[in-house]
Amino acid sequence: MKFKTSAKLPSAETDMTPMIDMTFQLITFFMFVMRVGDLEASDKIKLPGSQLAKPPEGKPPQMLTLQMTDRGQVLWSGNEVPLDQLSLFVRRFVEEERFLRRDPAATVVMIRADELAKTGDVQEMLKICQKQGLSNFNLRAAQRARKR
Amino acid sequence: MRLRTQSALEDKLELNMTPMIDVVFQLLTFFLFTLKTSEPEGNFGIRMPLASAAPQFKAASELPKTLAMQANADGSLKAIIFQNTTYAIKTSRPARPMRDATDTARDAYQRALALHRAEVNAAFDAIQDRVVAWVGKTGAPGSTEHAVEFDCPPNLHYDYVIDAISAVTGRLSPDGEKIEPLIERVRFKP
Repeated sequence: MKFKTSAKLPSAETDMTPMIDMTFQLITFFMFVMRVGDLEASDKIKLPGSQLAKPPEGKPPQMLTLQMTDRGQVLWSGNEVPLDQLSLFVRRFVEEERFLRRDPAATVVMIRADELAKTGDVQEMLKICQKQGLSNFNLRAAQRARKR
Repeated sequence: MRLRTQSALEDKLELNMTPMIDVVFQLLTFFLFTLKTSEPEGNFGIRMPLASAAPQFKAASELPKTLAMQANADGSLKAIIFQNTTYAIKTSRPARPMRDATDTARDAYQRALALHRAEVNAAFDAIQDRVVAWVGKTGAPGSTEHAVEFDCPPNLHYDYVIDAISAVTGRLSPDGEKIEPLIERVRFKP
């Protein structure tokens, strides 16, 4: 704080430099910690845990994410879609891939299903993808270590 | 920029930093709101073409072994049957607490879930030991000559399927660093 040596009332000046430095530090921290790819992962789904689940090393070039809630609703781009209408969306996705001159069979389908989702519904989701020619699946699980 | 109207020798250029600090705070607020903390996730890669396109098995020894699971009416695991051995699960899985549940209810749920999970994990560990013995006999771990087919009832909870896939496809090394692959070919019974 600096006080002016004059007959007038003193004014206080604060040096803001350290605060700005801290703010830049915080920004840098959040920039490195934020993961853009997982922004589409829904919070509604609690994934089953597995000690074998290791984070993937790279992102495949073509990926389709299918999420299923514990009530059996499929989440397509954040919207709930009933399972019986999923084939329309998957067919449209495959047609878009073909239009973009990409081989749909090279697409990796990432399945994020809630731990309480019914296995029959998940299998139905897999069958719908298989019928459209998608056969590469990644089943997502949360990393949870446990002692044997 | 303000230029002071003084003598040429005392000219100073002052830069007003206020807008820059405002933008920096805007950025900080953006990152604060978009930060999402979630538990790390991993993948199980499975290739499952349509059943009609799958190659036929040439010899009886190549037929996949079946891991069958039975479910209670609420979808929790009742029993696992593998290589003619039945592993029954006696504890029941508690229902997820409602959003407005009390802390006591949540604690009771966590305790009951831990008991159930301990029994399920013990059963799958025993199955994994049998898979290790089977794979070790006729081929190197991670070879593709073994296959397991999962026979699951439609109402079974999905996490038991992930447990079964984990038990059969690999195991963690004792130091917890590496995954030793066991069986690569897994499929669901059509």
